[in-house]
Amino acid sequence: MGDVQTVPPGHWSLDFPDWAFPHECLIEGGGREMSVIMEERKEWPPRDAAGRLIPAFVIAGVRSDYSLVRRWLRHIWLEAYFGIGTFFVVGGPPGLGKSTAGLRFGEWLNPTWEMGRQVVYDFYVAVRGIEAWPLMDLIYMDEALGRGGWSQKWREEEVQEFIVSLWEKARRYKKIIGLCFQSEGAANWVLRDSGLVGWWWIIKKRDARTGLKFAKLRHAIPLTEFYMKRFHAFKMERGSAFRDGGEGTIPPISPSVIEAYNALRDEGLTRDEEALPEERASDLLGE
Amino acid sequence: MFDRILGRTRPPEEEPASEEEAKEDVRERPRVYYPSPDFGSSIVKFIDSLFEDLDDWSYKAANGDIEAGDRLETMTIARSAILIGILSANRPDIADDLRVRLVGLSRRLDGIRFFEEAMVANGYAIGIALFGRKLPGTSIDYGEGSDAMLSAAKSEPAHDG
Repeated sequence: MGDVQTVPPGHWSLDFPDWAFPHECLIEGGGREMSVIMEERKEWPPRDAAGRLIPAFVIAGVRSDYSLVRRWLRHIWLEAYFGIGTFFVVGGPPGLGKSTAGLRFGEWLNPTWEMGRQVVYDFYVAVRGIEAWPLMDLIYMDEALGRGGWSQKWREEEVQEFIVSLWEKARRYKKIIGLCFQSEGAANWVLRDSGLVGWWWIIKKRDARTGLKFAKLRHAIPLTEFYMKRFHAFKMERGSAFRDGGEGTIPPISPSVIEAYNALRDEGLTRDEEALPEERASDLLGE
Repeated sequence: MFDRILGRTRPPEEEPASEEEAKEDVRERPRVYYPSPDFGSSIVKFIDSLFEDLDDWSYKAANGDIEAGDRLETMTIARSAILIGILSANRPDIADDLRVRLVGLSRRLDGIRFFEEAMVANGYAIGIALFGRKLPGTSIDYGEGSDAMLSAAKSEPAHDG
């Protein structure tokens, strides 16, 4: 297996300089610098705890090795590895394959990927999994937030406190967290005003013949202050604004996986048996 | 306005009795200079003449006139330099890329060929600076190669790094 090729460190595709608004990474130097640092530490190519290669970094010698989705997966993996709690949002109308996109992301980010574990439907399972599951995992909260998460009943202070603790946990345990919404605008007052989310996928259409999903990726610019023209002053406020990135396609997964996924979804087996729905999430996250 | 409020009406303006009196009135009026289209039209004239010259030189250069080709190259470089200067404010990467392209072109090509290629490079730089590249050519992903990726990751590879 000496012929396995991975993305070389310092490659341009680890960043997004080719966009109209180039992505400004929170780590100085971006993905290129991060990969060079990993090369200096003899950690390149990226591997999981058991020493297996991360599939997203393997290149097979075809054109789609450097597609938008794979470049983005490599970038957010590096961000999470270097200690940024990476959150992304997938939104779109129902039936376009947001959940199957999550399956695809999980398959490529984790060599030891399990369908029933990484795509969770229960909020408390996801919150507990941030601590319990191994480092550098993707947790794809599939409509979990809408069910048990920040519902409209929560008080704003509680939500802010909860988000800060969630962010710290994600950073501490090096998790990549995907939030899947049918209407992501319903949670925008939480997600946008807290500056939590860094990436935003909008799935626009799906090809019925192949299952290919056409999607648009937006990236956040973190805001710490707003300039108030009326007062000639800066107002301190946390938040994020999204800029257009690139447009790309998310490839389909195999029909057998989709069948298995549908079976799981119908039977409700994706819920973890250890879930404790009675507990509040703040209790789980509290020290 | 006050006239109307107070119920007064203006007296009707008396028309000049003859042309001579009208001319005298014009002479007595103080001269006021309004912005005229002369300045803009002079710029347009200059640009028109420049493009005429460029046409002339390009035809001559295509027919083998070396001097006209040199003039064409000089004018092309001058215009590209202006463009580079404008671009370097916000996109120094594009400006530097354009400079490198032009240097390479000037080493390879002469006269009318250089003019053509340099115009293409200028247009590319303008387009990239204005619209960016929102749709990279590699963005379509049909999922090919994913089986190889997954199998390589699942098996234990001996990668030298």
